[in-house]
Amino acid sequence: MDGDVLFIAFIVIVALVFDFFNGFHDAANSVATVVSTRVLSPLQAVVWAAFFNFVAAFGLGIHVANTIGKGIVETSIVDERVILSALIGAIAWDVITWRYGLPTSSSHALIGGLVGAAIARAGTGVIIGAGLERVSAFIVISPMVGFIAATFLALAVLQLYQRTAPSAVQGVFRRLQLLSAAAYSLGHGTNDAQKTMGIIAVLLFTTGHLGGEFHVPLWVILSAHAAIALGTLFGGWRIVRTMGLRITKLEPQDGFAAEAASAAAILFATQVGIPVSTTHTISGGIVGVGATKRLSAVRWGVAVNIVIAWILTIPASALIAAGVYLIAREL
Amino acid sequence: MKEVLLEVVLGTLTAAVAALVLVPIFVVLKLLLDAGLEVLFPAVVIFGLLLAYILRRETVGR
Repeated sequence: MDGDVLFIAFIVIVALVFDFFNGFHDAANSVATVVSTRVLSPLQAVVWAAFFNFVAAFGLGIHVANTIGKGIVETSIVDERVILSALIGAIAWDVITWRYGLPTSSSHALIGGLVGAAIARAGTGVIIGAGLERVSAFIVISPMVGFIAATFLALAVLQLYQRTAPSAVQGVFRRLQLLSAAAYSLGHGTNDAQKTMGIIAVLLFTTGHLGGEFHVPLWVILSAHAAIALGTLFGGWRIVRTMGLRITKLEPQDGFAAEAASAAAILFATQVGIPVSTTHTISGGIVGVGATKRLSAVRWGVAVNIVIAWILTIPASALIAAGVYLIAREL
Repeated sequence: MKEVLLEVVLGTLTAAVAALVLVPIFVVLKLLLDAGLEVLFPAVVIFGLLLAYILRRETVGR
């Protein structure tokens, strides 16, 4: 095996480590509401989420992987060092924000990393403006859609159960939340694992290991889903606390509304090929259900910190990745 | 037994209501996306802010 192939294999492993961290950092958000409403214990919840993260490998398409692979930067300038720098930038930012319990987006960190490394290599001309614009717009759109959909769903549920005994309501929603959490983990698994798939596929394509046409091999699909599922299984409790307990206090019916609405938003984005942040979307959903009680029920201080971290993610990971690329180029 | 049956009926009803609420929202979203980001972005942001304003007005004092 020659050195180039070994280097590519090493980068694929780094990409899967990123995916693992994505699960570690992000995926537990998808079960935060189940934990905060005490439907499942933290351990049961992460096992539940990890299972559906993996199952998402089957039958939900690869539109997001195609967007990441071909829609953000010109593939002609992508090489091993660009991909490695992008991954290091994204992982570094994920670790920093995880350390401080901030639920930022691994997805946007990866996109920021890719953009930063590409600019460091070949200037701003290689950025595909329309693709980056679409992704950037959805930084705002996805939490807003989560907020709107969760608000309407929470209001409908409130209307439906206004004359039902609270104990009966709790019983129904404790079960329904298992379904909404599963749907959310499915959405999370497919949208987030596809980002890693896109990165690995573009690496293989630009180094001539995919033949003449860009596609995502089956082994890449399965290994990306396995990595994110394992990450979910092993981590994320610190961020679960922020999402589920600190933004607003949740009842089982609120958790159901936030998750079902956010799951629908993620699956919609996946089908139209837009890489969105599950963290952003569930945050919008949680704020939405909190706001139907009263806006002051939402702890805005925490929400504002999260928004600041979101705004910083793409520039910060881009800067780190650009720095890493400039160092790697000299080696 | 009666309680379980009631929970199943209520659960099914809730799932149907959730579909009735969510499907139209995402149909509209797809139509807006097809019309372009310059339509989708302001529409979603303005609607979201308007909704937040209405919620604030309706829930003040609770």
